[in-house]
Amino acid sequence: MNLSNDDIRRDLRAINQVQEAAVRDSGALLDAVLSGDARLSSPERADVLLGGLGRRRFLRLGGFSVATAAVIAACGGSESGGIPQAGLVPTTLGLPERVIDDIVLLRTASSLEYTAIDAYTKAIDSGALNEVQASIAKLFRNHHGEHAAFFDAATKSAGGEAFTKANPVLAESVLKPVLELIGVSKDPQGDLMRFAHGLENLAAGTYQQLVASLTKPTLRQKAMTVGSVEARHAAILAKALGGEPVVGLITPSTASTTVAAATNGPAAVVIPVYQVPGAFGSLAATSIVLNGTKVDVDIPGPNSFMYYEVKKP
Amino acid sequence: MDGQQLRCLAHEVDDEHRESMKGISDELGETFFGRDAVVHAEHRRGFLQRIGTIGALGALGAVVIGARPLGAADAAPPSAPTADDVSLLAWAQSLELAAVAAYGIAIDSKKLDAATGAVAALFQDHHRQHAAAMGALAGKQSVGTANQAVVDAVAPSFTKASSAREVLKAAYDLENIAAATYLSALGVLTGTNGAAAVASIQPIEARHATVLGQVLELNVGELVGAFDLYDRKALDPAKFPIAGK
Repeated sequence: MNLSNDDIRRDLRAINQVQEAAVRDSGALLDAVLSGDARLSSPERADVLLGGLGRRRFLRLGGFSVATAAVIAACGGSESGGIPQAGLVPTTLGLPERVIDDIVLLRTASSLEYTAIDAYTKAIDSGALNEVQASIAKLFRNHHGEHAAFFDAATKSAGGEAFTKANPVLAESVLKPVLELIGVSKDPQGDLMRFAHGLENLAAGTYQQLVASLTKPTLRQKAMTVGSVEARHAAILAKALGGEPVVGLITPSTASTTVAAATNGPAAVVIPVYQVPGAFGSLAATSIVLNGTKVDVDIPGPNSFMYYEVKKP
Repeated sequence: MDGQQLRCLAHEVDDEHRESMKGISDELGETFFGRDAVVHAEHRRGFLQRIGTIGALGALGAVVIGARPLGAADAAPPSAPTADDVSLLAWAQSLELAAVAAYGIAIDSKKLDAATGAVAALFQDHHRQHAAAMGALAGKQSVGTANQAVVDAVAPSFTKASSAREVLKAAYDLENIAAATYLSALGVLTGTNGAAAVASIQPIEARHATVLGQVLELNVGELVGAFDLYDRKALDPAKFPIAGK
């Protein structure tokens, strides 16, 4: 390398001068902040002390960092074979690219249906439901079975691989904790019915939401031939829970949705149930009272989708 | 790498450094002397909002909507209603207003008791809200009047009803027809805004039908099948045109 020491010294001196000038400004500013200079407002003080990072500043520093990195990398050159280092460098992998397309959404729909099948199966097998409730649960489970097969076939016709198991995210984050709550409940029968009602509302909302993401009108139509049925399921279960026909009618009966509080205990949690909860389908989280605890379940979002790389458990 | 290249890179770094330090000096000055404090705050907020967005995406990995990694990508549909969508949404508004008219007949018949009358009034109000939603999407094509052809087709079952049960049966049939018609519409609507609005209304019509069916004491198997169908019950806009169109 034929670089004269004078050249390097000159460059470094120039850089140093700029650096010193900036540090002087910083020092003056810090003095002003710490001495309580009246020209600075509280937010300005906080901004300085807490390291407020303006967008421009960030980008400039970013640009500087990138350029510095380029120099460091270039310094390694072909002669040295890289930056000297000690020990093993851990392998770092970039985050995977997530693709949300019709196939992913159809796989997600299948997974939701298998989750519902599992939930109804556990409810039926628990023996906590009465005869009428169990017959409704079996009918609805059959419907979900047909829905699952329907979406499996739709996934295959779209060129994808059907996801034929329960949604692992929902199974772990919803089904498991909910069943644990019901397992220690004083009213497992009521809780199972409330959960079924919440699950059907959740499914109805999910299909409604998918319509905006599916690219083909025929797929949206297919999704809602199912979503509409989930809404009907929810309406039937709401009636079974003693809910009112429609919101706005009269003060709702809360008997079915209220978990009695212990004497002198905390106020009971009350969530009214309606067969028709509004003029438009809701995409909000579904709230369910289980064993006296209010549980909010969100409509599955991208972190619950069954992407191509998600394998069946 | 020779000295010339290193110098060149050093100068580039120096330029970046000077520029960034100059920027920092400017911002220190702004902060110190109170100039553009609001602008500075705006920049920061905007940046943080963007970072929040990037962070949310980063937590998930990069998300690409409507595309496939291999093979043909799904073409992203338009969000705004197409011209054909607008015509259909305007027609849907006229259908909803026909339902409002039909419920008006049901309520005015005085055959319903207080409880079912109150339910009918609320369902009528839902249809009014649905009409407003469809009208908003239809824009200038919105007509704001009931579809007379639909009214002519469904009204007789309400006007000729001799009992509350028959009135409720007419309303039950009407709701199922509306639900089926919206399902049919979903198969042709191109824009996602119109489709999403229809998808928020269709399940409500299905719930209305379920409530009325339960008042009619239909069994669960009659109230709901594995799929909601649209082939037989759905109204064809071509057969029920909006008057004057």
